[in-house]
Amino acid sequence: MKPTDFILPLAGIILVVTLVWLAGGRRNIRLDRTTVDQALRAEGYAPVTITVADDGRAAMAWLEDRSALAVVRAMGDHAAITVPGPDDIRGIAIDGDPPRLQVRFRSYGQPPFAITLTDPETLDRWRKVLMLYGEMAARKESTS
Amino acid sequence: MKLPDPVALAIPAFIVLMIAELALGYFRLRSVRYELKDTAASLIMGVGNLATGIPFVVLIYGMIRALYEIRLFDIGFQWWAFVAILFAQDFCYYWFHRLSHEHRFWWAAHINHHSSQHYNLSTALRQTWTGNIAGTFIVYAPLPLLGFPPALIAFSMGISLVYQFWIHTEAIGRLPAPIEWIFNTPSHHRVHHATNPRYLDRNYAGILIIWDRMFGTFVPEDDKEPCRYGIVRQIATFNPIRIAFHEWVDMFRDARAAGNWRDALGYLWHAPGWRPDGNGRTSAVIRDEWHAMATRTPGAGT
Repeated sequence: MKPTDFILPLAGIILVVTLVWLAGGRRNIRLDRTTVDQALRAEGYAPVTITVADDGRAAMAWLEDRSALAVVRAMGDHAAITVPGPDDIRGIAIDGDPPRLQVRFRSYGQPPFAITLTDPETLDRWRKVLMLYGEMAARKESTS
Repeated sequence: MKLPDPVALAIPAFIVLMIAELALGYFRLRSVRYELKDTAASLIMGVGNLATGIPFVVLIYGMIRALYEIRLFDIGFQWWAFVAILFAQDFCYYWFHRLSHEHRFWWAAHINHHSSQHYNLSTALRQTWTGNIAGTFIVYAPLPLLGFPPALIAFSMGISLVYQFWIHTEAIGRLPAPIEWIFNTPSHHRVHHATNPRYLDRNYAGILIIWDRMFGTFVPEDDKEPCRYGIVRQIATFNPIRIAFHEWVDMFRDARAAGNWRDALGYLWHAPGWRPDGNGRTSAVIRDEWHAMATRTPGAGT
């Protein structure tokens, strides 16, 4: 294969990407309770508590039927759902103003998740949920 | 005999067909969705696949050549060899593809092709960067041993790749029944890319769907259950590096954290989702749960 063999594919990429952009391909989903609820139910989950970020870019939910946490991110025009197990969470942190709750995962396919919440009570509630969730993993490890 | 490279010849057609599909969606003539970052990621993966293949061309061709030297028959380039290689290559492809889904070591190389939540022609180009390292070409070893010339094998693999481009679309519904019965079609391949439990790890075909019918892995598309695309644990990134390597990183992390060699190797060998404690959620487990629920409550599965 010659270096010139890459010219046509590269030109093609630029052309297609430009046309997708011109055709409105920069759509960004804005999450709200309804879209998050629908997205989770479409995957077979039953959320009982849903909290959506103020900017509509992220959401968290508690799935009662599985006793599990779901994090939802706006990924282009889709809602990307992650249901991490307790041992999939590597750490949590709160920073910034307005406060932002950050969750880091062990999986390389899951970049850190961040959700901005101005309501301190909601923020604190989710922080506690995440800490308890992480402790479930620690308990499981110590009993195995 | 010098045969053309079907993929190189088809690249202009790939571009034209993607633009045509995009236009069908834009003018609302078909249900087609292209998203900017998703498309860019898929196309970069496609170019990366070409680039990462270069260092392996000599090695793989050399291995095929070496196997061809100890061939059982002299098939050559007779007319029927072109027909026979179509079936033989497609049979090998079925097993390559099935193994790529059923064993995590090979799944790590193949997962990126399934990582988009969209399903359009650009998804076809979201190809692996690590397939050669994973040694997936081993599955094709019987072809030179049988006596198919290396050039013919390369040609047939190119034809297979080109064929599989057009089936990555939602713009085509179902084709006439005889075609749907024999060939892999957009409908069959939508099922393959879906994460709905009933569709998981089904329809591995390349060109001919008959292999899935023969080996019990065929599932037809059900209009009552639209396909949801992607992977069971969706990745939350458009970054091509993460797309290409995330499963490798996760797999080796799991293996390293395993308590013993047996479990460590189990993470590489067993199906994606496997865990040594037996609580893993593999495709088979997810499908069984769905079957159990659908049997208990008819209609619940849809």
